[in-house]
Amino acid sequence: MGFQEQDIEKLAHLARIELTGEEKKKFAEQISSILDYVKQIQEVDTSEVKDISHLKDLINIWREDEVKECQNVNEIIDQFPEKHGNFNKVKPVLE
Amino acid sequence: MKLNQLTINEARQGLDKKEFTSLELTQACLKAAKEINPKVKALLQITDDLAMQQAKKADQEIKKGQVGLFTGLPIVLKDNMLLKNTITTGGSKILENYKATYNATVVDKLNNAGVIFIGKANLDEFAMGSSTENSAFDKTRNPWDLDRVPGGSSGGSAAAVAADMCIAALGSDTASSIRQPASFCGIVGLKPTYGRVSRYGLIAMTSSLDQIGPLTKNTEDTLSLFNLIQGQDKKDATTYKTKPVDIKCLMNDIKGVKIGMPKEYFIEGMDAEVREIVKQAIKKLEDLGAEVTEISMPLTKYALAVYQIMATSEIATNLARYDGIRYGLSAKEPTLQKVYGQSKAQGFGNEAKRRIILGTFALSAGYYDQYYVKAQKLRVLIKKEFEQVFKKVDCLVTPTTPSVAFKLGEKYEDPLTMYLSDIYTVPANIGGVCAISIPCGFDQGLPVGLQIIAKPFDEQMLFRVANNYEQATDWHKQKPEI
Repeated sequence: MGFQEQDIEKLAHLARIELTGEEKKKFAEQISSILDYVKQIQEVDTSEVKDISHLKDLINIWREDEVKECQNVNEIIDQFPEKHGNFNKVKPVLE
Repeated sequence: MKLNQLTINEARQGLDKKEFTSLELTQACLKAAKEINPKVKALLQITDDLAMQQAKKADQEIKKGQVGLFTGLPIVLKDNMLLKNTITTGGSKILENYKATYNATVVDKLNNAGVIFIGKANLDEFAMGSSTENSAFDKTRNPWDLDRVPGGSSGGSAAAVAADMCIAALGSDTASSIRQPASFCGIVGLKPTYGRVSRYGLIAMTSSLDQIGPLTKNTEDTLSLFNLIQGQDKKDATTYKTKPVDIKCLMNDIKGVKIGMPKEYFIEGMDAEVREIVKQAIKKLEDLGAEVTEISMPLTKYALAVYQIMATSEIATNLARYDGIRYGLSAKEPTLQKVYGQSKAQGFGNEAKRRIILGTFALSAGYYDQYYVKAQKLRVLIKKEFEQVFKKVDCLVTPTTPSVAFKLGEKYEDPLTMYLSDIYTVPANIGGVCAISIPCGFDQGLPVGLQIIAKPFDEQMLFRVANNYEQATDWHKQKPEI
């Protein structure tokens, strides 16, 4: 599969990551070559496989929905890149 | 023998007989780490203060006679496991200043057992790589040859054990990341069965494949450390209720054990000398009484391609959380979209970016069925192939890697060639089975690894076969000169 720079650009937009022109060029080549290798999975007949869940014999672990005190509030708040008091400050979402 | 060279059992005996204290043992490891690390660059951080504090506490407990197997033993953690109030980078610039706000479950277990944390080990960024060259901080060197890579992504953990900066280490394995560096550095490394060790507090890469496991100086140590960390965890819903392995399994001989040698693991293109060394090791297992038969696992060759799709899809999802909002690197930009885009642009390295793009593609509308669903279906078939084979044999033996450690830079610019170094280790992750790598010889002075694979939850079989081989050889006792 031949990737062009604009294909990479579109994927980068979906992933919300900015790439340089050089990166787009390099990734277009590299991802084309990786997908050339990956395409061999198409040769295998998988029509008999109906269920693709990978852990079949596990059941949910339940717990009571109880209010507990959070032990590490301050440590978490300390990590905020920008804050206003104890609030995490972000740029406007709607403009 | 120097204190830092001891195994878990030797260190325990010495501590219990009061031949030395945990403080002395810890100081010996810290001294080795400080001397060797500038050359090998195995550790991103040496946690001196914490280690000394823990060692003093351990010595008090030893005095009181309140000891377990691990009380006072210096251990290294791969830097993708959260140790509260300590910088935990995941090998990424995006978490360069991130201080963990809680402990991983394995860290809690180690803490409760009284271990000493010597430091945090280098890794490929977010555990993505096979050489540790993708770390945002340092390129770790192989203690056997400083011009070569230690393997990856747990290259720092493997190099720290091989260079005796600690008694043992923890790593994580998604496609090869414990076994391949263990093989390259001449030590023992285990990838446990998926679901046997909690992933809570392990920075996620490919959640459906990641497993934490030990890197140690011999098989018995791997068993001991595995027993300490395994078991169900309420904080990780993919863990199973399991019991520790009975250490007595090491005593059993391997007479009549049925070993399969899958011919797909001895293909053209692998290093001829490595093949010869591994075949000799298999001959040794036969001499010890095992029944070796050649078998065929035709789906083996698809495992790496399946991995590429599954891993990149889950990576694209898992790495989306690093958006510069709640923690980690945050670009100073005027709009929200620019904050996202630039934080990732500045924080992620090449491999992370490439995998995010490929994963986003595999999950995108129009390609989802062709790539992601197809890969998932093939995964089911690969699992079935393992199930079928384990009806006939007790375990499989293969080379861990197609070649010995390669030179720094040799494969760095060519991702596909780099990925191919995982070709013998990745099927065990896709199949959800367990596998161990043990030292089995040297090619041009560089260690070669033998991989043993067993069915899910049958780690005791790995330990039994590995220990029998180890008792009959002394490859695991060889030390690099640094």
